Formats: sequence, structure tokens, C-alpha cells
Amino acid sequence: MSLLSTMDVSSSGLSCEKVRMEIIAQNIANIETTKTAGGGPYRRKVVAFKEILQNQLNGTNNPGGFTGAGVQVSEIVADNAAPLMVYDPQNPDANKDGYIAKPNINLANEIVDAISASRAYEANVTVLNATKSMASKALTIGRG
Amino acid sequence: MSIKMDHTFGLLEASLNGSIARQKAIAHNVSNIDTPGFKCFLVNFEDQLANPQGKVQQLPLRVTEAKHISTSANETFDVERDLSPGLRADGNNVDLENEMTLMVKNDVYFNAALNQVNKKIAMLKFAIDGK
Repeated sequence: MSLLSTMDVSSSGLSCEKVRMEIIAQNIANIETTKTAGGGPYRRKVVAFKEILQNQLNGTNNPGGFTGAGVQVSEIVADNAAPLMVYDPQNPDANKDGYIAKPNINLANEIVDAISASRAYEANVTVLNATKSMASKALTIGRG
Repeated sequence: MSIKMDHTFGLLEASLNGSIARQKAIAHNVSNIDTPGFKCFLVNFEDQLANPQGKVQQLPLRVTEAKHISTSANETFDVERDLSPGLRADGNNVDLENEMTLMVKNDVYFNAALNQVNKKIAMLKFAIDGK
């Protein structure tokens, strides 16, 4: 039944928003990280989404003539903006001029992104609940 | 006198299928609210239902884009993409408020159609039992 696959669509939205929230949490947690495995300060990560179309998945005919099947994370990329240079000669990571390279993270941007991800998550939950109530109601056919 | 003497069940089935397809399109649009360049899907079935009774099952599919059309001949709705540029910088044109309103309307519509199915079945039962 198509209503069950509709729940999968909302579920893909929930997973993607959760990944986005995790990346935001990682960015905020690393807002002061000046040393990484790759050298240099931590770089802000950005999540990119793309839609799933059913014929990409299996190429078979799709129920209802509709190919949309939700969303997926296409890639998680590092923001290439230049690091923030802060004068702090006492810091062990300071260069010879006394500057340290701090991550290119703007806390306000991250918080706004977090709110946006949270609202999008809620929107997906709302749709999922509506679909669930439709599916339950459909089970009452013939009982009335 | 056959049970299929009128087209109520056929029309109601088409309404329910259309409503389910619309719900899926809304779920897809909402899940892609942060996908750059995403264009939202629209499902229309009321126009087809407005056609003369009895023709519902024979309607040809209206082709809007080749890959959006299923092979089933019983579909009585069409799926289109709203290609308007939208108001956002990333080219996404999903309007969350609009989607939520559509969803509430769709839910009411679905329940109404389902109640009609149940009423129709109750009437048939009454006709069969005579009590």
C-alpha cells in the first residue's frame, strides 16, 4: 500500500534532518579546535541533500505514477572559507607572528541552522502522523 | 440489479487513490524542504473526477513528463512539478505552510471519502439483510 511507502518518505526526511543536526552539533563542539588530524584548524562541515526518485532505485513501475521517494544526504563537505586569525601569542598553536587559526565557524549561523533543522524535523513528524492516521482509518473500511 | 449499478465505488476508489498519492507528494515535498534546487510535486485528481461518471476507469494518462507516468492504466490523477523559481536563494520552491494546509485538507478529504465507502457498504448490507 502506498501509504506505507509514504511513511518511508517522511522517515528519510527525519534521518536527513538528524544527520544535519549531528553535523551542526559537531561544528559547535569544535568551535575552538585548532588542531586536526589533517593539520590546521577544524573546518566547518556542511550537509548537502538531494531528492530520491524511485526510478533511480529500481527502474520498475512506480505505484501511483509518482516517482518521489524522499531525500538523502548526497555529501558532507568542508566549508572552504578562510580560518579566523586571532592574536594569541601564548597559545601553543600560534604561528611566529603570534596568531592562531581558529575554525571558520559562526556560532549564530550554526544556531539558526539548528533551529531550521529542528523545525524541518517536526514538519516531517507531522506529515508522518497524518499518514499514520490515514492508514489506520483505511483499515476501518467495511466495519461501519 | 447488480452491485455495480452505479459508479460510486469506482469514484470513491479513484478519490482514495488520488488522496493517497497527494499525501505521498506532500511527504516528499516536506522531506525535501532543505534540498537545494528542489521543485515541489503537485497531484491533481479532482479534474479527472469531474468528468462524466463511468469514464473514470478509462481515462488516458495525461503525460506531463515521460518518467513520471506509471504503466498502470487505472490511474486517475496526474502528477506535475511546480517549476516556479520560488522565493529562496537556493532555488527550492517548497512552501511549508502551503504543504501543511494541503495535508490537512487532504486528510479531511480522505476521511470523507472513506466514510462514504463505509456508508455505501452499510447500505448494501442493509439491502442484503433487509434489517
